[in-house]
Order: sequence, then structure tokens, then C-alpha cells
Amino acid sequence: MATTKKRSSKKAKSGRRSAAKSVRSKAAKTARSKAAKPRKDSSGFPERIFAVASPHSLGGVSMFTQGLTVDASNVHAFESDEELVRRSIARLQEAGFEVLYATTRTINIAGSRATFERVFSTKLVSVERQAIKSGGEVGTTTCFDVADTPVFGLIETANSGLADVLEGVAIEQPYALQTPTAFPPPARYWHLDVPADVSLGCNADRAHRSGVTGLGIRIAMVDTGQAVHPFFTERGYRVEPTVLGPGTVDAHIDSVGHGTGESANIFSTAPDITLLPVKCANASGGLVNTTAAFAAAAALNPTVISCSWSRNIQNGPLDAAANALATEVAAAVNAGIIVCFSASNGGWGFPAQMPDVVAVGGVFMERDGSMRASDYASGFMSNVYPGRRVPDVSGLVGMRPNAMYIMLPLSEGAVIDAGNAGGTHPNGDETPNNDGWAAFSGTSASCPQIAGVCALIKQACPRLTPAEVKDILMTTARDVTVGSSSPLTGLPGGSPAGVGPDNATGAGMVDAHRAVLLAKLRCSVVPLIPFLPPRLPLQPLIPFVTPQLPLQPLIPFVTPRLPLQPLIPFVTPRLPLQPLVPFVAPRLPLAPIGPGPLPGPRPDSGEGLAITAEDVTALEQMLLHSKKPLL
Amino acid sequence: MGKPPTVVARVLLRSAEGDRPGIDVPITAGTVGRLAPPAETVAAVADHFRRAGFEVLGTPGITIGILGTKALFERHFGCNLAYGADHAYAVRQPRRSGAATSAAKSRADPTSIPTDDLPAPIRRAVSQIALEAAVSIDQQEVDP
Repeated sequence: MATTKKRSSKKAKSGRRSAAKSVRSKAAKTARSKAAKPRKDSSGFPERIFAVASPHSLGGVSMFTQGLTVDASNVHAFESDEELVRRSIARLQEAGFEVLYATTRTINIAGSRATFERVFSTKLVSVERQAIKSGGEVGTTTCFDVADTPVFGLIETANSGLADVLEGVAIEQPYALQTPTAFPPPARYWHLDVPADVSLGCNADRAHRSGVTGLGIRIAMVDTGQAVHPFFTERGYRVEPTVLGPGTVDAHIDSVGHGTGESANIFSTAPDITLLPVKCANASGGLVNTTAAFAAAAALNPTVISCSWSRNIQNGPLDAAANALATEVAAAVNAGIIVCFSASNGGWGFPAQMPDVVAVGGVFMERDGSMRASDYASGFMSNVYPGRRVPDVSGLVGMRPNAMYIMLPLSEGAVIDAGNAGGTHPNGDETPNNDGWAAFSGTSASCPQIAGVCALIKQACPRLTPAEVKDILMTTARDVTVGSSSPLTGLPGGSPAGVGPDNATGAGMVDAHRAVLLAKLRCSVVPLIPFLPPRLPLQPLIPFVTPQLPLQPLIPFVTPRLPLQPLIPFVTPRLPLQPLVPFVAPRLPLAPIGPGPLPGPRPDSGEGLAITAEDVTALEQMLLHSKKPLL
Repeated sequence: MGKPPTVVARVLLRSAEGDRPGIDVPITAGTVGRLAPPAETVAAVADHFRRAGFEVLGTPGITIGILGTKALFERHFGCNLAYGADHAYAVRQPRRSGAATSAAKSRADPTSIPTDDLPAPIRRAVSQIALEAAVSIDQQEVDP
């Protein structure tokens, strides 16, 4: 069927404002159109045959002239007079054709076989020709031709009633869906590619260079599914088979493209993790049964769960559904799983508001590396949980109107691929609608970036609790001082960024390298303060000890094996920091840093990665520039 | 019109002390441990729903995931469910008048399934039964 090019050329973007409904209806439309077979007439021809008509060219030579090559240097000769184009359109419509689209060079039309044959006094025939189909498969496909012209598919107009306006008509031929490649398409506007630019923006490259890549860490992602794409396969990324949540089907299909695309953000910051996709989208692309899907993800016992979806809950009390989800999230965190949620794009994101989760906001990074709060990402103080700031930390997100910022891989022709296609940035991503790539972002993108960084932190120090991982993310984030977050209902100006933590970006832009360094440091240096009596050095405890005893200091409070000299630095280290010695990995994991062992079968008892000489140098710099104690 | 999709809901149980998660005690990673119901209660409630024809999802705990047809839900809980354009079910509030109206309004949470028709021992063990709510992906121009 000769319709593909026509569909490709129509890059509808007008519905982009229509929110979730629009996305879902597009998904439904996509599903329907994929399932639909072209209707055929009694002789087996499709009811509508598509073609491109060319009004007479200003240069006097038809664009259909055999042997002619049209390129940028001569295309102006094949422009047509606008008035002629208008007349051509009117005459074609009078003749019974649908006019679908027109430029000053061509007019896209559709009509029945009978209309073509009547208007152009010709005879259409069908021919089987070899073609490359979607996925690169070689096969045959049905094409249409006329018997009496030298150029395949060309309808001569000289003997028709339209000879005075048209120089020729080309019957559309089938084009295969573009097989996506592992390489993102070029785009002329400032955007980020995965994995390289996102990794660099999150300062993850340096963590990777030091050997911390997320190896051995499993991240579950609850989203619209995970499609096979060469971006993942050719890089050897580890993706487990998709787990289907209740109400979902087709584990290998992601008709929306959201889950597939956003997962590329995880691999950008943590290329060696193992991804556990959990699908929560139904056949129409709508998200369904997300609490059950989240519970299914937690049951996989991953190290991190990344969720790029939310409900808009501005005020409490929470409804029953939110209570149910909150319970599952809290249980996961209690079991030691780090849970990352996107803060939302213009909504009061829940469950990001839950104090236990890592709430992820957005920072826009310019080409020169400068950063400002994304006006697309939400930032606010929760009304449901008093004192709770959302976000905790931020990743890379584009700016309004559409945040088309990160070129991400997805199924060719997926809802987002088609919806963002064509146009001119920032209203379109300027890529084809079926190439398996689209520019998009939002806190949907930043959340998995931070999930990846959490994986790096856990690789560096497996025994850290979710709260400690969050603290490291926030302590090491880069302060973002300009811009403001998205306007919200009840917060029309958004939240401004400023010096220090703020409601726009939380602690600021994530810094994976510094986070990994601090994780290593905290894994190696165990704060002794909780195990010491409050006011050392101690005077003799006369009131509590029988007088006969020679009163030693309270050594027994401290494990005798310790080299106890450097106790002072642990009491709020002030610069300069003399004792670098203790940073050289004491072999003892002296005690758990957190409140105690976590329930559940978590494989997190490792000692963490050793601090290298390079790490010490970098840590010294971090400490020198730190505004607050790192330990 | 095709068959309506199955309904998924979560049964939130009261803690051993009778606390209702999120109502009497805030739900956090720190409190979720003490919100845990007794194991025999979990087993009894899960068994009740299994015997009633629901599929019990995953491992029952503080919450129990249940799945069933719309008709089964409506019959078992004595309520009407509506499937929305947002791909989520909601409890359709009954039309009442007078004093009943205010009672109905006080229970206006469309994600909360009434528990009045459950057997007393089960009803006493249950805090809330929550339908899955509609959520949105946090991507461009997708309203949360």
C-alpha cells in the first residue's frame, strides 16, 4: 500500500497541548492504525491511492524528466507559481481527488483507481517489487504503475484535462519504516545525546573512569515497557525481560516509547547496571495499576526503583489509592530499596512528596555548561507532608514549552516518536515520525538519571541505606542559583532558585563523581560519635565509679582495636583536615552507618570500593570547597 | 464496546494495634514496620478474597493486591464502579437524599471501595480498600 510516505510527511503536532488524554488517544489511534488493513475495491486495488502532483515548474522543465536529478542547487527551478498551485488544487478537487497537502512544488492527493484512470485517461496496474521492510527484512510489496510511461509510477498529464496546470503525477510508492540505528539523528538545536552528553552533564564520566559504572546493581523501572532498540543491544546494555504488571500485555512492545526512551537515561549514568523493566501501560498506552506494578517491581528486590510518573496532589489528606501506593513505597524503602520518583512537570507530584523517596527535579544545562532551574520541572514545599521540599536533587531537563532536550531511543513510530516529529524546535524535534528517536525530557528523564547515580553510589558503598544515599546525592549536588521551576496551580510563578538549597532544584544538580567519592569515603570512615559518650574527653566519673578503682579514661566505650588517635576530626571536621590517614580504607567495617541491619534478603553487606590515591586528591578538593562537613 | 478491563485494588489492613495506615499513623519507611498486621490476619483476609473469586497478587502483607472482574467487585462490595477515560475505575457514588447525602459526601473518595458488605471479622481487619488511581507519565505536556 502506497501510503507510508504520505503519513511520514504529515507531522501533526497540534495536539501536543492536549495532555494525557491526547497521548492515550494517540496510542489508541496508533494501535488501531497498525491493526487496520487497507480497504480494497473489487479488483483488489486499495480504495484510496496516494500520489504527488506537480504543477508546471517555473524553470520550464518537469521535475519528472527522465534522467534529471533534483537537488538543492536546482530545486528553485521546480517551484511553481502560487496562483498556479491554487488553481491546480481547485481543479484536482473538482475532478474528485482529495487534496491532502500542498507546497509550491507538489500537491499530495488521494483518489480511487477509477478517478485516476478517468481523469488522466490511463490504466493503473499493480506490480510486485522487491522492497526493504521494517527491520531491514527484504521482501516484496505491491506497487502501482501505469503501462504507458517510461518512468515507473509516473502518470503523464499531457492528454488529460489537467494538462494546462500539471506537468505530471507520481503515484506514491511504499517506504519501509526506518529501521532505527544505534546513533541518534542529528539535530540543529541545542540538545543532549545519550549516553555521552547526559553522562557528562551529570558528571558521571569521571565516576565511570574510576571503575564505578553500576556493575552488579539492579534497577527496576516501572513504566510503559521496554522495546528492543539497537541503542541498547549494540552497546551491550543489560536488560532483563519485561515483567508485566496487571492489565498489561505484550512484554516486548512499548507503543508509547516513554519507558524505552527514559531507560536510556539510566544507562547514561550507570552503563553497567541490569535493568528490570516493569510494564504498567495497557494496550492503548495508558498507565494502569501502577501500585500493583510498583509492588511487582519491589518484589524483584532491586537496589533502586525508578518511577517517572505521578499524581497531582496539592493538599491532603491522601485518598485511599494514594495511601495504598504510599504503603508500598514505604515498605520498599524500609526493605532498603532506593525509590526515585519524578517531581512532575507542572504538578504537585506524588509520591515524590513522600519524605522517604528521592524526589527528582530538573536543571537545564546550556552548551557552555552553565545551569539554571528548568521552568518545566516542578519545585515546591509539600502541603501534604509539612516541611518536605520537592525536589531533593535534580537531573537534566529541558525548558518550556515542550522540553525537547534529550534525544532518546524508542520504538519506531511510537506515540512520542510520531507526536514530537518534524516541525521546528522547540515545537517539534525535527526528526522523522518513525525513525526510532525523539527529543523529549521532563522530570521523567531526570529521575532515571538520578536512579543511575544511586546505583553508582551503592556500588561504591553497598551498605548505605536509602536515606544515606539521598544525603550523599544532596551533599554533593552542584548548587544552581538562577532560574525558577515550573508554575503550579497555587504557585503561578514557580519557585525561584537561589544560593543554597531551594524549592526550584532542591540541593541542585546531581554530581555523580563527587557522590561516588563521598560514598567511598563514608564507607571507609565510620563516624564513631554515636558510639561515644557525649562529652569526651572524659573527666573521671567519680559519682558512678567506686572510689577504689584507679580511674582510667573510658576506653571500654571504644573498640580497643581501633587506632584511636584521630577522634577529633570526627567531631565536626573543620578545615584544614589533617587526618587523611583514616581515609585509607580501614579494613574493619566497624559498625553499620545506619540505624541497623535492614530486613529482607539484601545483598548489600560488601565493604565498598577502596579509595585510591586519585580519590584522595579529589576528596581533598571536595573538602576544601565544602561549605559543610562531609562526614 | 469491548469487555471492560479487570479491576485491581489494594486492601490496606489495620496494624496489630488497630491503627489505620495513613489515617491514624503516617505512612513512612520508619512507621511501616509497626503498621504490619498480624500474619494470621493477613492470611485470613487473603483467604477471604481468594474464596470469593479474586486473584490475590504477589505476597500479601500490609496491603493485599486483589484482581477481579468489574462484576465480581460490584457484587462483592455492593457498589458500582465506573471506568473512566483515564483508564482507571472509580466508585460511583449512590444517589441519596437528606442525611444520607452528607454521609455519602463524607465518603466521596472515588478510589475507596466501601467495606460495609464485608463479613464483620474481615471488615474489622481492613482499613481501606483502594482502587488504582490514574497517573500520568512525567513527560512533556502530560498533565500529572
